[in-house]
Amino acid sequence: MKPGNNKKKDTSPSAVSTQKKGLVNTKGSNGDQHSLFDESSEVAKQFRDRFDYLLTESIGNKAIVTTASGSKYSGILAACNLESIDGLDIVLKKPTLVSSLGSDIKAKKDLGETLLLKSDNVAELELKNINLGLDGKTGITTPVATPKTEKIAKGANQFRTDVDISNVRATKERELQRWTPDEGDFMATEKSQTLEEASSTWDQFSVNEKKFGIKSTYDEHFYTTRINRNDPNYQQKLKEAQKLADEIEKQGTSGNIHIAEDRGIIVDDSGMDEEDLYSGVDRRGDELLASLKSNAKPSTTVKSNKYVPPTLRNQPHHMDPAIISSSAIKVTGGNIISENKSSTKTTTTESVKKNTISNDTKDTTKPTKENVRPKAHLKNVDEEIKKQLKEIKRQSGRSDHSSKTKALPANKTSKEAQIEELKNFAQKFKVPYDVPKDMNDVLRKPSVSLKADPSLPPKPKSNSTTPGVANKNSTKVSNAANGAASLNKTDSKKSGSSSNNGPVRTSTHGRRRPAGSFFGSKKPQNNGANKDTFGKNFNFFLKSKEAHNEEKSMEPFLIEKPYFATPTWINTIEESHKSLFDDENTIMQESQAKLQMRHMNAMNGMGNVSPNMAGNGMNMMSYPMMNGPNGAGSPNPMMNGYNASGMGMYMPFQPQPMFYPSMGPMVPVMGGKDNNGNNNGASPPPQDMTAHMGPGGYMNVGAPYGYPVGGMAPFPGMMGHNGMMGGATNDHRHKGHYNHKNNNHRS
Amino acid sequence: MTSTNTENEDWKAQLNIPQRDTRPQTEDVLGTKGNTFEDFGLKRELLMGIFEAGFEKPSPIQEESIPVAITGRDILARAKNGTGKTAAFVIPTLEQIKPKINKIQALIMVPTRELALQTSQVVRTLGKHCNISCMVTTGGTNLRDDILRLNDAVHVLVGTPGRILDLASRKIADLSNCSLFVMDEADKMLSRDFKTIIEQILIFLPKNHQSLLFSATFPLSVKEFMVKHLNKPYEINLMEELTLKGITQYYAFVEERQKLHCLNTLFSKLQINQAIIFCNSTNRVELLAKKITDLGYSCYYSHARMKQQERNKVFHEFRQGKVRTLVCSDLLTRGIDIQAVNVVINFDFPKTAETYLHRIGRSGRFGHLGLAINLINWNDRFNLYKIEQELGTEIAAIPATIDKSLYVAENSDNVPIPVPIEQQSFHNNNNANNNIVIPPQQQHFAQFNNGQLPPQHYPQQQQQQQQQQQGIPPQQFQPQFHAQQYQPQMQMQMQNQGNYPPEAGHQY
Repeated sequence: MKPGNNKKKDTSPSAVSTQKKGLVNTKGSNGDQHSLFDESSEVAKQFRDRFDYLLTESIGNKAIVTTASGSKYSGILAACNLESIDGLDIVLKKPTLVSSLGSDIKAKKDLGETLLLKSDNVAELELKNINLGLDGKTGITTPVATPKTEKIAKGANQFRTDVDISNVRATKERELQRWTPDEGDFMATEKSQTLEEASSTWDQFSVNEKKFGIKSTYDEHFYTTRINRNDPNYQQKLKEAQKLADEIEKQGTSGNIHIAEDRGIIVDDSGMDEEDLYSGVDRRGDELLASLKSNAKPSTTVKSNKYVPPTLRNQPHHMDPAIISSSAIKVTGGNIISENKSSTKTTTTESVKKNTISNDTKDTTKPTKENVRPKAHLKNVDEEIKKQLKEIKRQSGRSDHSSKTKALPANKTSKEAQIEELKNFAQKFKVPYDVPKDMNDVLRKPSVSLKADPSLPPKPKSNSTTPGVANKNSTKVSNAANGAASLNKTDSKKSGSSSNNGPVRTSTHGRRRPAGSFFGSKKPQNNGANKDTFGKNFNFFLKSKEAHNEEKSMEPFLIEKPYFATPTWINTIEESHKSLFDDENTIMQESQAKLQMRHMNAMNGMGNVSPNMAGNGMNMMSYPMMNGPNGAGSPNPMMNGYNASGMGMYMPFQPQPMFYPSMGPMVPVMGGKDNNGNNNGASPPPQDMTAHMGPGGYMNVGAPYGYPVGGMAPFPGMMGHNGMMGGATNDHRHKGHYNHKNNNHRS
Repeated sequence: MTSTNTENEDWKAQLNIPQRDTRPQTEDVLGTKGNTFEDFGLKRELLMGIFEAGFEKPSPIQEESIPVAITGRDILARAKNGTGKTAAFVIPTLEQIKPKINKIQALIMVPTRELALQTSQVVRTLGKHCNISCMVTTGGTNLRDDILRLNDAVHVLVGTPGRILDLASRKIADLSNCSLFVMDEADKMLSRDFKTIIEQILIFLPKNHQSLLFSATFPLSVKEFMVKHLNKPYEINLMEELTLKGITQYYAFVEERQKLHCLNTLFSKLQINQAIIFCNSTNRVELLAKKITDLGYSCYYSHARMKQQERNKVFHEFRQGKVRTLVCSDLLTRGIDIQAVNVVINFDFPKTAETYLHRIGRSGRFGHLGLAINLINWNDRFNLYKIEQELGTEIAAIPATIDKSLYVAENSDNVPIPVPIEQQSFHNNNNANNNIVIPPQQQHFAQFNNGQLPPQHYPQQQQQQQQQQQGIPPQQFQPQFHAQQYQPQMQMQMQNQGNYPPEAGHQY
C-alpha cells in the first residue's frame, strides 16, 4: 500500500509530521486560497478539510506532478505546503521524469534525491491508489486474529497473535520415529510399567529429607512483608482482620473458579485440568457455540489414574454446566467432610479425592491432619466405572456427569474415542437454551432461605448448621452420586445465600452455578414446598395485598400498574416531560401556589373545603382541558398544584398517606370514568368533574377510618384527596402540568 | 542525580555485584541497541539494585519497555520466555513509586501464586535500596495476615486476582492511588475466567492509571480489552518467531508404559543441571515424583491441589537448587524462572501451543541453552502436529546421543540463584518482634542508602544475628545428587552470594 515505506523508510514519518504542521496552519484563516469558492464558509471549510485529509493520506504514496512547463514527474510525495499563495508547494522524493515537452531543461540526471516544486510551477498533482479508509491508522484498532489459513501481511503496528508470528508452514503429519530402549538396559526387562501400576502415596518432604538430606528453609518473609505484631492495637487489629477474613471467605464463589480458589474454597475442578486453569488460554468463541460444544462432549475426564492423552480429553475446555456444577463447590468445613466419607466408598474416585482435599482449611498455617487419600480404592473404582459406563449414563440423568468417566484405555485410538463422543452426543444433545428447569432450581433456592428469614439479609453463620442436617439425608440416598449431590446442595445453599453479601461480584457465566441447583429436583418433597413458596413469596399481587392488609385492611386495595402501554398520542407520552418543561412547571407551581394562597386567605375560616373548591374552580377556569388527558391520574393534577399550598394549611393530615401504594401510577379499581378520562383532551369539563369526583366520592368510604375526622366530616372526599396527595409523587404534578400545557397549545 | 562524578564512580565500585554468569547467550537477549541501564535515567537506588542483582545490560524487551513505561504510557508487550520481561515491568514500576507516600502505588497481577512470590522477590531484589515495601497476596495463605499486612505501608502489591479483588472490593487494599497496573502473562490473565475478575478489579483503580501488559504468548487477540481498558498502548513485539533460539526440542515416540523407562534413560544419559518434568494430572505428578525418588534422584513435586505452604516450600527449595528435579503440573508452566534448569521434559504432552511454549521456556532462561524433550505416545501425535504447526517448528526425533554443547554450558559456575532478599521492613519488624533493638543494622541501612558503606558485610552479619537469636545450629549440607558437577557448583554459588553460608540456608 505504501511504496514509500519500502523504498526509503525514514522519509515518510518526517514527512507526515511536516504535513501535520501544515494542516494546523491551514485551519486558521487562510482566506486567499479559498476565496475561489462561491460557497459559504462552512462548505469551504469542509472542502478544505477533505483536501487536507487527502494530502495527509497521500504522503508516502506515489504522486505524479505535471509542471507548468508540461513535464511530468513521478515520485513519492514527501510533503506539501498548503500555505503557498498560488496553490501547493510539493516535495517529491526519488523523483523520476515521466515525460517532458522539451521546453523543460531539466534532464533526468539532474534529479537528485528530492525534488522541490514551487506552487507556481505545479499545474497538476495526480495521486493514485490512495487508501482513505481508517483501517489500522488509528492507534487503537487492532485486527481480530486471522485464522491460520488466510494470513494477511500485516502492518508492523498491528497486534499479532501467536499464529501470526509463527509463519505457519504446513507441517505434515509424518511418521514418527519410535524410541527404542538401549540394549541391556535393566529397566527394559525388569519393569516397564505405567505410572498407575506403581501407585502409592508418599510424603515428598520426609522422603527427600531421609534419602537426600534436603531440608526446607522456606520463610514467607523472603517474599512478602512482615506483620507488625508490636502494634499497640495489634490485638484489636487482629480481631478486625479475622472478622473481615471470615466475611470474605464465607462469601462463596460467585461462580468463578479463581475467586473460589483464592478464598480457600475447594472447588472440584474435575472438568478442568491445571493446564486449563493456569496455562492454557481459553479459545472458546461465543457462549452458544461453546455450550453446543460442551453438550456434544458430555463426559468428563474424571481424575482417574489412567493417563488420558490430550486428544481424548475434552478440548479445549470443559463447558458442560452440569459437569461443572456437579463438581461441587465445597466450603471448607470439617463436618461436611467427615459425613461425606460414609458415602464416598461407592462414589467415584473423583469425589473421594475431592473430599480429602477439602480437609484443607483456610488457615494454612495450622497444621491439619494428614490427608488420607484412599488410593487403594482408586483402581477398583476406576475399573468399575469403566464397566458400568453405559449403564450409568442412562440411569441417573444429570447427576451422572460427575460419576461418568472417560478414562478410555490409553491405547484406544482417537477414532474410537470420537465415535464414542458422537454416541454420547446423540444421547445427550440438548438445545443450549433449554434451561428453564435449571432456572427453576436456581430460583427456588433463594426462596427457601427467604421463607426462613424473609426480612433479614442472609447471614453466613446462620447456615452453619445446615450441612450436618443435610448430610443425614445424603447418607440415606442409596445412589452414591446422589449422595454427593445432595451434600453439594447444602453447600451451595450456604454459599449462595451468603454471596448476597458480596459487593460487586457478578456471577460470570451461568454455566458454573452452584452445584446444588441441578439436584434440587432430586428431592420431590422439597419441590412442592419450594414451588409453593416461590409462588407465594414472589407473587406480586399476593404480596402487595398482604402488605396492604397488614397496614390498612379497611381500605380498598389498589395495585400499581406494572407498566403502561402508552397510547400513541403525543400528549400522553410520559417521557421527557420533566426535562422539557421543568422550568415552566416550577413557574406554574409557584403561580398556582400564590393563587392558592390568595384564595385561602380570602376564604379563611370557611373550613377545609374551601381551598379545594376554590382550587377546582380556578382550575376549571385557567386550565379548562386539564383533566382530560390525565386519565387514571385525573384527580391528581388538579389537586396537586393546590395541595402544595393546601398542605401547609392542613398539616395534621399530611403525614398520613391515604393510599398505599402511592396514588401516582395507579389503576384505580373504580369505574370506567378514569379510563374515559384517557380520551386525551377531548373530554369536556363536566366529565372531568366526574372523573375527579369519582375517586373523591369513593374515598368517602375509606377516609374516615384513616383519619381523625373531626370537623371535616362534611368534606371527607376532599380530605381524602389531601391525604392522597401526600403520598402522591411530584411526577404527577409535573405530568399534570405538562398536559395542561399541551392542551393549552391545542386549544 | 545530584551527585558529582567522583561519587558516581564510588557508588558503582561499592556495589555487591555477583559473579558474572559466563554461560553463552543467544540473540534472544543479546540483540539490543546497546543501551545501558544508566541511559534510562533511573534513580540511583534502583540502579544499585539492578546491578547488584547481576544485571549488566538491558535485554531487548527491557530496552524497549523501560523508557516508554517511565513516560507513563500504556504498554502491551510480548517477548520470548525468559528474556527479562519481569524486570522490564518491575524496573519502571520501581522508578515511578514514591517511597514516601504510604499507599499502594502499583498493582502487579499474575495467574499463579508461585509466580506472585517470584515476582515479588524480583521487586524486592531490584528495589532493595529503594525503601519500597512489596507485599504478596495470594489465595492459600492466611487472609487475616494479609489484612494485617495492609495496615502498614505497602507500595507494591503483587498477587493473584481472586484475592486482590476480595481485598480491593472491601477497601482493605486501597487502590485509589494505584496508578500503575501490571499484568504478567497477560494472555492468561485475559482468558475467560480471570478476565471477569480483572475487570472488576479495574473499577477500584484510578481512572487514569497506567497499564503494562506482558506475555510471551498471545494466542488470541486481546483487542477487546485493549479498546476498553488501554489508552493508546505502545505495542512491543520482539518476536519474529515463537520458540527460543537456545532451546533444542526433541520428541521420543514411546508407548505409555515405556515412558518411565525412557525417562530413566534420559536421566542416566543427560547431563542435567536441574530439570522440570511436566505431567498432565495432579495424580500423575505425585506418582512420577515418587518413581523418581525411587530411582535415586532427589525430586519434589508441586501441583495446585497441595497446600499452599507445601507448594511454597517446594518452589523455594527448587529455586535454591536444593533439589534436582521437579515434577509438576501446569501450575508452574508460566513465568517460573529458575536459571539452573537446562532440561525440560514433557512426560505428558500438553494440549495447547502456548502451554507447550511456556513449558519448554522453563529451560534456556535468559538466552542460555536448554533442552526440551517430549514423550509422545500414539494418541499424542496429532497434538504434536498441531502444536508444531502453530509454532511453526518441526520437532525432531531424539537421537541416540545428544550433543552436550546443545544444552550444557562450558562454564556454568555462576548460574544465578535467586537469593532471598531481606528488606528493611523485614529487619525492622523482625527486631521489633524480638524486642531487641539492634542499632548497627539500622545504621547499616542508613549508611548503605547513602552509598557510604560497602554492603558486603551486611548480609552475613544479618545471618549470624539471626542464627544467634534463634539458636539454631548450622545444618550440615549433605551431598545429594548423582551428578558430580552439580554439587560443587551449588556450594560455590552460595559462597559467592555472600549471604549464603555453605552449611545451610537461612534459618528463621
